[in-house]
Amino acid sequence: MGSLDAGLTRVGYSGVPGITAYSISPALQLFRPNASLLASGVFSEFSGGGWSVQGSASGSIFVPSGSRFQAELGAAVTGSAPDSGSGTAQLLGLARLHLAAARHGLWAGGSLGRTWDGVSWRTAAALEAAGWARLGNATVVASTSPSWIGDSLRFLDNEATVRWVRGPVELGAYGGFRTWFEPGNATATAWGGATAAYWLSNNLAIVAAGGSYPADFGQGLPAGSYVALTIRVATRRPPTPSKVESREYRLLQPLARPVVPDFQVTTISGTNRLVRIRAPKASSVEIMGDFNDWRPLPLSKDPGGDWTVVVPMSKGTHRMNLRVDGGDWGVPPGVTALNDDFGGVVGILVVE
Amino acid sequence: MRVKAGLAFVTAAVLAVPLEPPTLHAQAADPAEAITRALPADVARRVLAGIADARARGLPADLLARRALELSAKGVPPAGIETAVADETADLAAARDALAAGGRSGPTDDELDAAGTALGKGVDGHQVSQLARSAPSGRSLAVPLFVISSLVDRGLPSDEALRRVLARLEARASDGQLEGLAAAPGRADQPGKLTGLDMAETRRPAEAGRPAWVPANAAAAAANRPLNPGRQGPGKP
Repeated sequence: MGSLDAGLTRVGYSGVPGITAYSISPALQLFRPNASLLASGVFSEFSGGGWSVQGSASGSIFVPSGSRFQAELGAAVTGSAPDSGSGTAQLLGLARLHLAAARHGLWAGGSLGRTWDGVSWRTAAALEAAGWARLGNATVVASTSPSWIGDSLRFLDNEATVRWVRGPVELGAYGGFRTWFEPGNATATAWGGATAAYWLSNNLAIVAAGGSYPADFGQGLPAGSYVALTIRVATRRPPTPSKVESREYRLLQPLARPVVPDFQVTTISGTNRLVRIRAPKASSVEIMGDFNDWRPLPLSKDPGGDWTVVVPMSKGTHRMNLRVDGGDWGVPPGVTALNDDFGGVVGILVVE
Repeated sequence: MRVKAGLAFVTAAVLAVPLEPPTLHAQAADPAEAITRALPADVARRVLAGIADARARGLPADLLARRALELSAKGVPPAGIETAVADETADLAAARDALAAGGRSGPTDDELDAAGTALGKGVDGHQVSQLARSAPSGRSLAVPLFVISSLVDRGLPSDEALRRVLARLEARASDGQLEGLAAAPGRADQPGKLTGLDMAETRRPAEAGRPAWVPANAAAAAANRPLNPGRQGPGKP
Protein backbone atom coordinates (compact mmCIF):
# COMPACT_ATOMS: atom_id res chain seq x y z
CA MET A 1 0.00 0.00 0.00
CA GLY A 2 1.08 3.58 -0.46
CA SER A 3 0.18 6.72 1.42
CA LEU A 4 0.87 10.43 1.46
CA ASP A 5 0.72 12.48 4.64
CA ALA A 6 0.53 16.25 4.68
CA GLY A 7 0.38 18.20 7.89
CA LEU A 8 1.80 20.31 10.65
CA THR A 9 4.24 19.30 13.37
CA ARG A 10 5.51 21.27 16.33
CA VAL A 11 8.88 19.89 17.42
CA GLY A 12 10.65 20.85 20.63
CA TYR A 13 14.14 20.24 21.90
CA SER A 14 15.69 20.77 25.30
CA GLY A 15 17.51 24.09 25.36
CA VAL A 16 16.40 25.03 21.86
CA PRO A 17 13.24 26.93 20.84
CA GLY A 18 10.52 24.84 19.34
CA ILE A 19 9.85 24.96 15.67
CA THR A 20 6.87 24.31 13.41
CA ALA A 21 7.31 22.11 10.37
CA TYR A 22 5.06 21.81 7.36
CA SER A 23 5.66 18.32 6.07
CA ILE A 24 4.81 16.07 3.18
CA SER A 25 5.56 12.41 3.69
CA PRO A 26 5.09 9.63 1.15
CA ALA A 27 5.28 6.03 2.31
CA LEU A 28 5.22 2.68 0.56
CA GLN A 29 4.67 -0.79 1.97
CA LEU A 30 4.96 -3.90 -0.16
CA PHE A 31 4.28 -7.33 1.25
CA ARG A 32 4.87 -10.63 -0.43
CA PRO A 33 4.63 -14.09 1.05
CA ASN A 34 8.38 -14.26 1.50
CA ALA A 35 9.38 -10.63 1.52
CA SER A 36 8.50 -7.15 2.70
CA LEU A 37 9.64 -3.68 1.68
CA LEU A 38 8.92 -0.52 3.67
CA ALA A 39 9.99 2.94 2.56
CA SER A 40 9.09 6.44 3.66
CA GLY A 41 10.35 9.97 3.24
CA VAL A 42 9.62 13.38 4.71
CA PHE A 43 10.13 16.82 3.24
CA SER A 44 9.72 19.53 5.85
CA GLU A 45 9.74 23.27 5.58
CA PHE A 46 10.23 25.13 8.84
CA SER A 47 8.38 28.18 10.06
CA GLY A 48 11.61 30.05 10.74
CA GLY A 49 13.01 29.27 7.32
CA GLY A 50 14.95 26.31 6.03
CA TRP A 51 13.96 22.83 5.11
CA SER A 52 15.03 19.25 5.57
CA VAL A 53 14.50 15.87 4.03
CA GLN A 54 14.79 12.48 5.61
CA GLY A 55 13.98 9.01 4.49
CA SER A 56 14.24 5.37 5.29
CA ALA A 57 13.87 2.09 3.49
CA SER A 58 14.04 -1.45 4.77
CA GLY A 59 13.53 -4.77 3.14
CA SER A 60 13.45 -8.33 4.38
CA ILE A 61 13.24 -11.76 2.93
CA PHE A 62 11.90 -14.68 4.92
CA VAL A 63 13.64 -17.96 4.40
CA PRO A 64 11.09 -20.73 3.90
CA SER A 65 10.83 -23.17 6.72
CA GLY A 66 8.60 -26.09 7.41
CA SER A 67 8.60 -25.45 11.14
CA ARG A 68 7.47 -22.68 13.42
CA PHE A 69 10.93 -21.17 13.15
CA GLN A 70 11.54 -18.78 10.34
CA ALA A 71 14.64 -16.80 9.49
CA GLU A 72 14.57 -13.21 8.30
CA LEU A 73 17.41 -11.46 6.50
CA GLY A 74 17.17 -7.79 5.74
CA ALA A 75 18.74 -4.41 5.30
CA ALA A 76 17.78 -0.91 6.35
CA VAL A 77 18.92 2.46 5.08
CA THR A 78 18.06 5.77 6.72
CA GLY A 79 19.31 9.26 6.17
CA SER A 80 18.55 12.94 6.46
CA ALA A 81 19.71 16.17 4.94
CA PRO A 82 18.99 19.71 6.16
CA ASP A 83 19.36 22.72 3.89
CA SER A 84 22.37 23.74 5.94
CA GLY A 85 24.86 21.62 7.80
CA SER A 86 25.72 18.01 7.30
CA GLY A 87 23.43 15.20 6.46
CA THR A 88 23.23 11.90 8.30
CA ALA A 89 23.03 8.29 7.21
CA GLN A 90 22.84 4.77 8.54
CA LEU A 91 23.24 1.48 6.71
CA LEU A 92 22.39 -1.71 8.56
CA GLY A 93 22.13 -5.37 7.78
CA LEU A 94 19.97 -7.46 10.05
CA ALA A 95 19.14 -11.04 10.81
CA ARG A 96 16.34 -12.41 12.96
CA LEU A 97 15.02 -15.78 13.94
CA HIS A 98 11.27 -15.87 14.56
CA LEU A 99 9.30 -18.37 16.58
CA ALA A 100 5.64 -17.69 15.96
CA ALA A 101 2.29 -19.11 16.94
CA ALA A 102 -1.08 -17.78 15.86
CA ARG A 103 -1.41 -15.07 18.47
CA HIS A 104 2.01 -14.68 19.99
CA GLY A 105 5.61 -15.05 19.10
CA LEU A 106 9.22 -14.28 19.86
CA TRP A 107 12.15 -13.20 17.86
CA ALA A 108 15.84 -12.64 18.46
CA GLY A 109 18.43 -11.17 16.20
CA GLY A 110 20.89 -8.46 15.60
CA SER A 111 22.03 -5.76 13.25
CA LEU A 112 25.39 -4.46 12.14
CA GLY A 113 26.31 -1.53 9.98
CA ARG A 114 27.79 1.91 9.64
CA THR A 115 26.42 5.22 10.67
CA TRP A 116 27.29 8.82 9.71
CA ASP A 117 26.47 11.62 12.10
CA GLY A 118 27.70 14.47 9.96
CA VAL A 119 31.22 14.26 11.32
CA SER A 120 32.47 10.74 10.86
CA TRP A 121 31.47 7.20 10.07
CA ARG A 122 31.15 4.83 13.00
CA THR A 123 30.16 1.23 13.43
CA ALA A 124 26.71 0.57 14.83
CA ALA A 125 25.69 -2.78 16.21
CA ALA A 126 22.72 -4.02 18.20
CA LEU A 127 21.21 -7.21 19.49
CA GLU A 128 17.48 -7.53 20.04
CA ALA A 129 15.05 -9.85 21.73
CA ALA A 130 11.34 -9.29 21.55
CA GLY A 131 7.96 -10.81 22.06
CA TRP A 132 4.55 -9.97 20.63
CA ALA A 133 1.00 -10.95 21.31
CA ARG A 134 -2.40 -10.22 19.89
CA LEU A 135 -5.03 -9.47 22.49
CA GLY A 136 -8.40 -8.92 20.89
CA ASN A 137 -8.03 -6.02 18.51
CA ALA A 138 -4.64 -5.03 19.91
CA THR A 139 -1.11 -6.02 19.03
CA VAL A 140 1.45 -5.61 21.80
CA VAL A 141 5.20 -5.73 21.20
CA ALA A 142 7.93 -5.53 23.84
CA SER A 143 11.62 -5.49 23.03
CA THR A 144 15.00 -5.03 24.59
CA SER A 145 18.04 -4.10 22.57
CA PRO A 146 21.63 -3.53 23.70
CA SER A 147 23.39 -1.22 21.25
CA TRP A 148 26.91 -0.16 20.44
CA ILE A 149 27.80 3.06 18.64
CA GLY A 150 31.46 3.43 17.78
CA ASP A 151 33.80 2.54 20.61
CA SER A 152 32.45 4.87 23.25
CA LEU A 153 28.69 4.47 23.53
CA ARG A 154 26.94 1.37 24.97
CA PHE A 155 23.34 1.50 26.04
CA LEU A 156 20.24 -0.64 26.44
CA ASP A 157 16.90 0.36 24.91
CA ASN A 158 13.72 -1.19 26.27
CA GLU A 159 10.47 -0.40 24.52
CA ALA A 160 6.87 -1.49 24.45
CA THR A 161 4.27 -0.58 21.86
CA VAL A 162 0.61 -1.30 21.38
CA ARG A 163 -1.63 -0.81 18.36
CA TRP A 164 -5.38 -1.12 18.63
CA VAL A 165 -7.83 -1.00 15.75
CA ARG A 166 -11.59 -1.04 15.81
CA GLY A 167 -13.69 0.07 12.89
CA PRO A 168 -12.35 3.32 11.51
CA VAL A 169 -10.26 4.09 14.62
CA GLU A 170 -6.58 3.24 15.01
CA LEU A 171 -4.76 3.97 18.25
CA GLY A 172 -1.11 3.47 18.94
CA ALA A 173 1.02 4.08 21.99
CA TYR A 174 4.62 3.50 22.89
CA GLY A 175 6.98 3.95 25.77
CA GLY A 176 10.58 3.15 26.48
CA PHE A 177 13.63 3.85 28.54
CA ARG A 178 17.37 3.81 27.93
CA THR A 179 20.03 2.89 30.41
CA TRP A 180 23.74 3.28 29.87
CA PHE A 181 26.69 0.95 30.16
CA GLU A 182 29.22 3.42 28.82
CA PRO A 183 29.67 6.11 29.81
CA GLY A 184 28.55 4.77 33.13
CA ASN A 185 27.53 8.12 34.54
CA ALA A 186 25.19 8.99 31.66
CA THR A 187 21.62 9.89 32.55
CA ALA A 188 18.92 7.33 31.87
CA THR A 189 16.18 8.64 29.62
CA ALA A 190 12.56 7.74 28.97
CA TRP A 191 10.16 8.51 26.18
CA GLY A 192 6.61 7.84 25.15
CA GLY A 193 3.78 8.97 22.97
CA ALA A 194 0.54 8.16 21.25
CA THR A 195 -1.04 8.35 17.81
CA ALA A 196 -4.70 8.36 16.88
CA ALA A 197 -6.01 7.93 13.36
CA TYR A 198 -9.58 8.12 12.18
CA TRP A 199 -10.33 6.72 8.74
CA LEU A 200 -12.98 8.81 7.03
CA SER A 201 -12.99 6.30 4.19
CA ASN A 202 -10.78 3.43 3.04
CA ASN A 203 -8.43 6.01 1.52
CA LEU A 204 -8.54 9.08 3.75
CA ALA A 205 -7.63 9.54 7.40
CA ILE A 206 -6.98 12.25 9.94
CA VAL A 207 -4.00 11.46 12.15
CA ALA A 208 -2.98 13.18 15.39
CA ALA A 209 0.12 12.34 17.38
CA GLY A 210 2.12 13.59 20.29
CA GLY A 211 4.96 12.46 22.50
CA SER A 212 8.70 12.30 22.83
CA TYR A 213 11.44 10.24 21.27
CA PRO A 214 15.02 9.40 22.21
CA ALA A 215 18.22 10.67 20.67
CA ASP A 216 19.62 8.79 17.73
CA PHE A 217 23.28 8.79 18.64
CA GLY A 218 24.24 6.92 15.52
CA GLN A 219 23.07 9.74 13.27
CA GLY A 220 23.59 12.51 15.78
CA LEU A 221 19.92 13.43 15.98
CA PRO A 222 18.77 14.80 19.33
CA ALA A 223 15.89 13.70 21.52
CA GLY A 224 12.76 15.72 21.04
CA SER A 225 9.08 16.08 21.68
CA TYR A 226 6.30 16.76 19.19
CA VAL A 227 2.65 17.30 18.54
CA ALA A 228 1.40 16.73 15.02
CA LEU A 229 -1.72 16.72 12.92
CA THR A 230 -1.83 15.35 9.41
CA ILE A 231 -4.15 14.29 6.65
CA ARG A 232 -3.37 10.90 5.14
CA VAL A 233 -4.34 9.76 1.66
CA ALA A 234 -3.70 6.05 1.18
CA THR A 235 -4.31 3.43 -1.44
CA ARG A 236 -6.12 1.51 1.27
CA ARG A 237 -6.37 1.22 5.01
CA PRO A 238 -3.56 -0.72 6.67
CA PRO A 239 -4.27 -4.25 7.82
CA THR A 240 -5.80 -4.73 11.23
CA PRO A 241 -4.43 -6.97 13.95
CA SER A 242 -7.35 -9.29 13.29
CA LYS A 243 -5.59 -10.04 10.03
CA VAL A 244 -4.12 -12.81 12.11
CA GLU A 245 -7.35 -14.64 11.52
CA SER A 246 -6.58 -14.77 7.85
CA ARG A 247 -3.24 -16.29 8.74
CA GLU A 248 -4.96 -18.84 10.94
CA TYR A 249 -7.18 -19.43 7.99
CA ARG A 250 -4.18 -19.97 5.79
CA LEU A 251 -3.23 -22.73 8.18
CA LEU A 252 -6.20 -24.59 6.74
CA GLN A 253 -5.56 -26.35 3.49
CA PRO A 254 -6.59 -24.15 0.59
CA LEU A 255 -9.63 -25.29 -1.30
CA ALA A 256 -7.84 -25.12 -4.60
CA ARG A 257 -4.56 -24.03 -6.01
CA PRO A 258 -4.97 -21.43 -8.73
CA VAL A 259 -4.55 -22.85 -12.20
CA VAL A 260 -2.74 -19.75 -13.46
CA PRO A 261 -0.33 -17.42 -11.69
CA ASP A 262 -2.06 -14.17 -12.60
CA PHE A 263 -5.59 -13.20 -13.59
CA GLN A 264 -7.07 -9.78 -14.30
CA VAL A 265 -10.44 -8.59 -15.48
CA THR A 266 -10.90 -4.98 -16.56
CA THR A 267 -13.86 -3.10 -17.93
CA ILE A 268 -13.56 -2.03 -21.56
CA SER A 269 -16.99 -0.58 -22.20
CA GLY A 270 -20.43 -1.25 -20.86
CA THR A 271 -20.53 -4.89 -19.90
CA ASN A 272 -17.54 -5.88 -22.04
CA ARG A 273 -14.72 -7.11 -19.83
CA LEU A 274 -11.20 -7.93 -20.90
CA VAL A 275 -9.98 -11.12 -19.27
CA ARG A 276 -6.19 -11.30 -19.17
CA ILE A 277 -4.38 -14.37 -17.89
CA ARG A 278 -0.68 -14.89 -17.37
CA ALA A 279 0.24 -18.41 -18.42
CA PRO A 280 3.31 -18.17 -20.67
CA LYS A 281 3.97 -21.91 -20.77
CA ALA A 282 0.39 -22.91 -21.61
CA SER A 283 -0.59 -24.11 -25.04
CA SER A 284 -4.29 -23.44 -24.45
CA VAL A 285 -6.38 -21.58 -21.91
CA GLU A 286 -10.18 -21.70 -21.68
CA ILE A 287 -12.73 -19.91 -19.55
CA MET A 288 -16.38 -20.64 -18.92
CA GLY A 289 -19.01 -19.38 -16.56
CA ASP A 290 -22.58 -18.35 -16.06
CA PHE A 291 -21.86 -15.36 -18.30
CA ASN A 292 -21.69 -17.62 -21.36
CA ASP A 293 -23.90 -20.50 -20.26
CA TRP A 294 -20.86 -22.57 -19.33
CA ARG A 295 -19.50 -23.12 -22.82
CA PRO A 296 -15.69 -23.40 -22.85
CA LEU A 297 -14.29 -20.29 -24.53
CA PRO A 298 -10.67 -20.33 -25.72
CA LEU A 299 -8.45 -17.34 -25.04
CA SER A 300 -5.89 -16.11 -27.56
CA LYS A 301 -2.22 -15.64 -26.77
CA ASP A 302 -0.65 -12.26 -27.30
CA PRO A 303 3.03 -11.73 -28.14
CA GLY A 304 3.82 -10.98 -24.52
CA GLY A 305 2.66 -14.40 -23.41
CA ASP A 306 -0.64 -13.27 -21.90
CA TRP A 307 -3.93 -14.90 -22.83
CA THR A 308 -6.89 -12.60 -23.45
CA VAL A 309 -10.54 -12.64 -24.35
CA VAL A 310 -13.33 -10.09 -24.17
CA VAL A 311 -16.43 -11.38 -22.45
CA PRO A 312 -19.74 -9.64 -21.70
CA MET A 313 -20.37 -9.78 -17.97
CA SER A 314 -23.03 -7.87 -16.12
CA LYS A 315 -22.43 -6.34 -12.70
CA GLY A 316 -22.71 -8.71 -9.78
CA THR A 317 -21.28 -12.09 -8.90
CA HIS A 318 -20.46 -14.68 -11.53
CA ARG A 319 -19.55 -18.32 -11.17
CA MET A 320 -16.65 -19.23 -13.41
CA ASN A 321 -13.83 -21.68 -14.09
CA LEU A 322 -10.56 -21.75 -16.01
CA ARG A 323 -8.51 -24.58 -17.38
CA VAL A 324 -5.07 -24.80 -18.92
CA ASP A 325 -4.02 -27.29 -21.58
CA GLY A 326 -7.30 -29.18 -21.25
CA GLY A 327 -6.70 -30.02 -17.58
CA ASP A 328 -9.14 -29.89 -14.72
CA TRP A 329 -11.40 -26.89 -14.39
CA GLY A 330 -9.98 -24.69 -11.64
CA VAL A 331 -10.03 -21.16 -10.27
CA PRO A 332 -7.69 -18.23 -10.80
CA PRO A 333 -5.88 -16.48 -7.94
CA GLY A 334 -7.75 -13.82 -6.00
CA VAL A 335 -11.17 -15.33 -6.66
CA THR A 336 -13.32 -16.84 -3.92
CA ALA A 337 -13.36 -20.60 -4.41
CA LEU A 338 -16.19 -22.99 -3.57
CA ASN A 339 -16.61 -26.71 -3.86
CA ASP A 340 -19.01 -27.42 -6.70
CA ASP A 341 -20.29 -30.49 -4.80
CA PHE A 342 -19.20 -32.85 -7.57
CA GLY A 343 -15.50 -33.11 -6.82
CA GLY A 344 -14.51 -29.87 -8.48
CA VAL A 345 -14.29 -26.19 -7.60
CA VAL A 346 -15.94 -23.06 -8.89
CA GLY A 347 -14.81 -19.45 -8.57
CA ILE A 348 -16.98 -16.49 -7.60
CA LEU A 349 -15.96 -13.45 -9.64
CA VAL A 350 -17.29 -10.08 -8.48
CA VAL A 351 -17.92 -7.54 -11.24
CA GLU A 352 -18.64 -3.95 -10.27
CA MET B 1 -11.34 -10.58 -7.20
CA ARG B 2 -13.02 -7.42 -8.32
CA VAL B 3 -13.16 -5.83 -11.69
CA LYS B 4 -11.60 -2.39 -11.75
CA ALA B 5 -13.11 0.40 -13.75
CA GLY B 6 -11.92 3.99 -14.24
CA LEU B 7 -8.26 4.13 -15.17
CA ALA B 8 -8.43 0.43 -15.87
CA PHE B 9 -10.92 1.28 -18.58
CA VAL B 10 -8.39 3.37 -20.45
CA THR B 11 -5.59 0.90 -19.87
CA ALA B 12 -7.63 -2.03 -20.97
CA ALA B 13 -8.92 -0.23 -24.01
CA VAL B 14 -5.42 0.73 -25.07
CA LEU B 15 -4.17 -2.77 -24.48
CA ALA B 16 -7.13 -4.40 -26.11
CA VAL B 17 -7.07 -2.65 -29.44
CA PRO B 18 -3.73 -3.84 -30.77
CA LEU B 19 -4.07 -7.28 -29.25
CA GLU B 20 -7.47 -7.92 -30.73
CA PRO B 21 -8.51 -10.56 -28.23
CA PRO B 22 -11.37 -12.77 -29.24
CA THR B 23 -14.74 -11.45 -28.20
CA LEU B 24 -17.78 -13.29 -27.02
CA HIS B 25 -20.23 -11.01 -28.74
CA ALA B 26 -23.40 -11.89 -26.96
CA GLN B 27 -24.68 -13.65 -23.93
CA ALA B 28 -25.65 -17.17 -24.88
CA ALA B 29 -29.13 -17.84 -26.11
CA ASP B 30 -31.98 -19.05 -23.95
CA PRO B 31 -30.49 -21.35 -21.27
CA ALA B 32 -33.49 -23.65 -21.74
CA GLU B 33 -32.38 -24.37 -25.28
CA ALA B 34 -28.90 -25.12 -24.03
CA ILE B 35 -30.31 -27.50 -21.43
CA THR B 36 -32.33 -29.28 -24.10
CA ARG B 37 -29.16 -29.73 -26.14
CA ALA B 38 -27.00 -30.76 -23.20
CA LEU B 39 -29.19 -33.30 -21.42
CA PRO B 40 -31.08 -36.41 -22.48
CA ALA B 41 -34.60 -35.48 -23.54
CA ASP B 42 -36.40 -36.99 -20.56
CA VAL B 43 -34.02 -35.47 -18.03
CA ALA B 44 -34.11 -32.12 -19.78
CA ARG B 45 -37.91 -32.18 -19.70
CA ARG B 46 -38.00 -32.82 -15.95
CA VAL B 47 -35.29 -30.27 -15.21
CA LEU B 48 -37.07 -27.62 -17.27
CA ALA B 49 -40.34 -28.43 -15.56
CA GLY B 50 -38.69 -27.97 -12.19
CA ILE B 51 -37.21 -24.69 -13.32
CA ALA B 52 -40.59 -23.50 -14.58
CA ASP B 53 -42.11 -24.40 -11.25
CA ALA B 54 -39.40 -22.45 -9.46
CA ARG B 55 -40.08 -19.45 -11.69
CA ALA B 56 -43.76 -19.67 -10.84
CA ARG B 57 -42.82 -19.54 -7.15
CA GLY B 58 -40.87 -16.36 -7.74
CA LEU B 59 -37.44 -17.97 -7.52
CA PRO B 60 -34.60 -16.97 -9.87
CA ALA B 61 -35.04 -19.65 -12.51
CA ASP B 62 -32.02 -18.56 -14.55
CA LEU B 63 -29.76 -19.50 -11.64
CA LEU B 64 -31.13 -23.02 -11.72
CA ALA B 65 -30.77 -23.31 -15.48
CA ARG B 66 -27.18 -22.15 -15.38
CA ARG B 67 -26.44 -24.50 -12.50
CA ALA B 68 -27.62 -27.36 -14.72
CA LEU B 69 -25.42 -26.13 -17.55
CA GLU B 70 -22.42 -25.80 -15.24
CA LEU B 71 -22.70 -29.36 -14.07
CA SER B 72 -23.30 -30.60 -17.59
CA ALA B 73 -20.17 -28.80 -18.79
CA LYS B 74 -18.22 -30.50 -16.01
CA GLY B 75 -19.41 -33.95 -16.99
CA VAL B 76 -21.78 -34.61 -14.10
CA PRO B 77 -24.20 -37.44 -15.00
CA PRO B 78 -27.75 -36.31 -15.91
CA ALA B 79 -29.27 -37.90 -12.81
CA GLY B 80 -26.87 -35.94 -10.63
CA ILE B 81 -27.79 -32.75 -12.42
CA GLU B 82 -31.49 -33.37 -11.91
CA THR B 83 -30.97 -33.98 -8.20
CA ALA B 84 -28.71 -30.96 -7.83
CA VAL B 85 -31.25 -28.64 -9.47
CA ALA B 86 -34.01 -29.93 -7.22
CA ASP B 87 -31.84 -29.47 -4.14
CA GLU B 88 -30.88 -25.97 -5.21
CA THR B 89 -34.52 -25.06 -5.76
CA ALA B 90 -35.24 -26.03 -2.17
CA ASP B 91 -32.18 -24.11 -0.97
CA LEU B 92 -33.26 -20.97 -2.83
CA ALA B 93 -36.71 -21.12 -1.31
CA ALA B 94 -35.26 -21.59 2.17
CA ALA B 95 -32.76 -18.81 1.49
CA ARG B 96 -35.55 -16.41 0.59
CA ASP B 97 -37.29 -17.19 3.89
CA ALA B 98 -34.09 -16.85 5.91
CA LEU B 99 -33.23 -13.51 4.33
CA ALA B 100 -36.78 -12.25 4.87
CA ALA B 101 -36.56 -13.28 8.53
CA GLY B 102 -33.43 -11.14 8.74
CA GLY B 103 -35.16 -8.12 7.25
CA ARG B 104 -34.16 -8.61 3.61
CA SER B 105 -37.51 -9.17 2.02
CA GLY B 106 -36.42 -8.16 -1.48
CA PRO B 107 -33.11 -9.89 -2.03
CA THR B 108 -31.28 -9.71 -5.34
CA ASP B 109 -30.71 -12.84 -7.37
CA ASP B 110 -27.02 -12.72 -6.34
CA GLU B 111 -27.99 -12.62 -2.67
CA LEU B 112 -30.45 -15.48 -3.10
CA ASP B 113 -27.82 -17.48 -4.96
CA ALA B 114 -25.25 -16.87 -2.23
CA ALA B 115 -27.67 -17.60 0.60
CA GLY B 116 -28.90 -20.76 -1.10
CA THR B 117 -25.33 -21.88 -1.61
CA ALA B 118 -24.57 -21.29 2.07
CA LEU B 119 -27.61 -23.28 3.16
CA GLY B 120 -26.59 -26.08 0.82
CA LYS B 121 -23.24 -26.26 2.57
CA GLY B 122 -24.79 -26.65 5.99
CA VAL B 123 -25.04 -23.08 7.17
CA ASP B 124 -28.13 -22.75 9.35
CA GLY B 125 -31.03 -20.57 8.22
CA HIS B 126 -30.86 -18.67 11.51
CA GLN B 127 -27.24 -17.82 10.76
CA VAL B 128 -28.21 -16.43 7.37
CA SER B 129 -30.92 -14.37 9.09
CA GLN B 130 -28.40 -13.16 11.66
CA LEU B 131 -26.05 -12.00 8.93
CA ALA B 132 -28.90 -10.20 7.17
CA ARG B 133 -29.89 -8.46 10.39
CA SER B 134 -26.34 -7.50 11.36
CA ALA B 135 -25.01 -6.29 8.03
CA PRO B 136 -25.28 -2.59 7.23
CA SER B 137 -28.58 -1.87 5.55
CA GLY B 138 -28.29 -1.54 1.82
CA ARG B 139 -25.13 -3.57 1.66
CA SER B 140 -25.27 -6.57 -0.66
CA LEU B 141 -25.02 -9.84 1.23
CA ALA B 142 -23.82 -11.81 -1.79
CA VAL B 143 -20.07 -11.63 -1.20
CA PRO B 144 -20.29 -12.07 2.61
CA LEU B 145 -22.43 -15.19 2.10
CA PHE B 146 -20.17 -16.64 -0.59
CA VAL B 147 -17.17 -16.05 1.68
CA ILE B 148 -18.92 -17.90 4.51
CA SER B 149 -19.57 -20.79 2.13
CA SER B 150 -15.93 -20.87 1.08
CA LEU B 151 -14.75 -20.86 4.69
CA VAL B 152 -17.11 -23.72 5.48
CA ASP B 153 -15.84 -25.60 2.45
CA ARG B 154 -12.36 -25.20 3.85
CA GLY B 155 -13.33 -26.85 7.09
CA LEU B 156 -14.30 -23.95 9.33
CA PRO B 157 -17.44 -24.48 11.44
CA SER B 158 -20.26 -22.32 10.13
CA ASP B 159 -20.60 -20.36 13.38
CA GLU B 160 -16.91 -19.49 13.27
CA ALA B 161 -17.14 -18.54 9.60
CA LEU B 162 -20.12 -16.31 10.39
CA ARG B 163 -18.28 -14.73 13.31
CA ARG B 164 -15.29 -13.85 11.17
CA VAL B 165 -17.36 -12.34 8.40
CA LEU B 166 -19.53 -10.40 10.85
CA ALA B 167 -16.42 -9.02 12.56
CA ARG B 168 -15.21 -7.70 9.25
CA LEU B 169 -18.55 -6.24 8.33
CA GLU B 170 -18.54 -4.46 11.67
CA ALA B 171 -15.11 -3.10 10.82
CA ARG B 172 -16.54 -1.81 7.53
CA ALA B 173 -14.52 -4.22 5.44
CA SER B 174 -15.19 -3.89 1.75
CA ASP B 175 -16.26 -6.80 -0.40
CA GLY B 176 -12.71 -6.93 -1.73
CA GLN B 177 -11.32 -7.25 1.79
CA LEU B 178 -13.84 -9.97 2.56
CA GLU B 179 -12.81 -11.83 -0.57
CA GLY B 180 -9.28 -11.84 0.80
CA LEU B 181 -10.52 -14.29 3.42
CA ALA B 182 -11.61 -16.83 0.89
CA ALA B 183 -9.78 -16.10 -2.33
CA ALA B 184 -7.69 -18.77 -3.96
CA PRO B 185 -4.15 -18.21 -2.73
CA GLY B 186 -1.22 -17.28 -4.90
CA ARG B 187 1.12 -20.05 -5.85
CA ALA B 188 3.69 -18.87 -3.32
CA ASP B 189 1.26 -19.16 -0.41
CA GLN B 190 1.85 -22.23 1.65
CA PRO B 191 -0.40 -23.25 4.50
CA GLY B 192 1.20 -22.87 7.88
CA LYS B 193 3.89 -20.46 6.79
CA LEU B 194 4.21 -16.91 8.00
CA THR B 195 4.17 -14.26 5.31
CA GLY B 196 5.94 -10.97 4.91
CA LEU B 197 2.81 -9.20 6.09
CA ASP B 198 2.50 -11.38 9.16
CA MET B 199 6.08 -10.71 10.08
CA ALA B 200 5.87 -6.99 9.50
CA GLU B 201 2.85 -6.80 11.77
CA THR B 202 4.80 -8.27 14.64
CA ARG B 203 7.42 -5.58 14.54
CA ARG B 204 7.01 -2.18 16.03
CA PRO B 205 3.62 -1.09 14.70
CA ALA B 206 3.84 1.75 12.24
CA GLU B 207 1.33 3.79 14.23
CA ALA B 208 3.08 3.26 17.56
CA GLY B 209 6.20 5.36 17.82
CA ARG B 210 7.43 8.69 16.54
CA PRO B 211 5.51 8.90 13.29
CA ALA B 212 7.69 8.72 10.21
CA TRP B 213 6.34 12.09 9.14
CA VAL B 214 7.68 13.92 12.19
CA PRO B 215 11.04 15.43 11.18
CA ALA B 216 13.80 14.16 13.45
CA ASN B 217 16.40 16.52 12.05
CA ALA B 218 14.72 19.83 12.76
CA ALA B 219 17.06 20.73 15.60
CA ALA B 220 19.51 22.59 13.41
CA ALA B 221 16.73 24.73 11.97
CA ALA B 222 15.31 25.28 15.45
CA ALA B 223 18.65 26.34 16.84
CA ASN B 224 19.49 28.20 13.65
CA ARG B 225 22.91 26.58 13.63
CA PRO B 226 24.45 23.22 12.84
CA LEU B 227 23.80 20.79 15.66
CA ASN B 228 25.07 17.29 16.19
CA PRO B 229 24.00 16.35 19.69
CA GLY B 230 25.14 12.81 19.10
CA ARG B 231 28.68 14.06 19.25
CA GLN B 232 28.00 15.88 22.51
CA GLY B 233 27.48 12.66 24.40
CA PRO B 234 24.59 11.09 26.26
CA GLY B 235 22.67 13.07 28.84
CA LYS B 236 23.49 16.33 27.11
CA PRO B 237 20.70 17.39 24.82
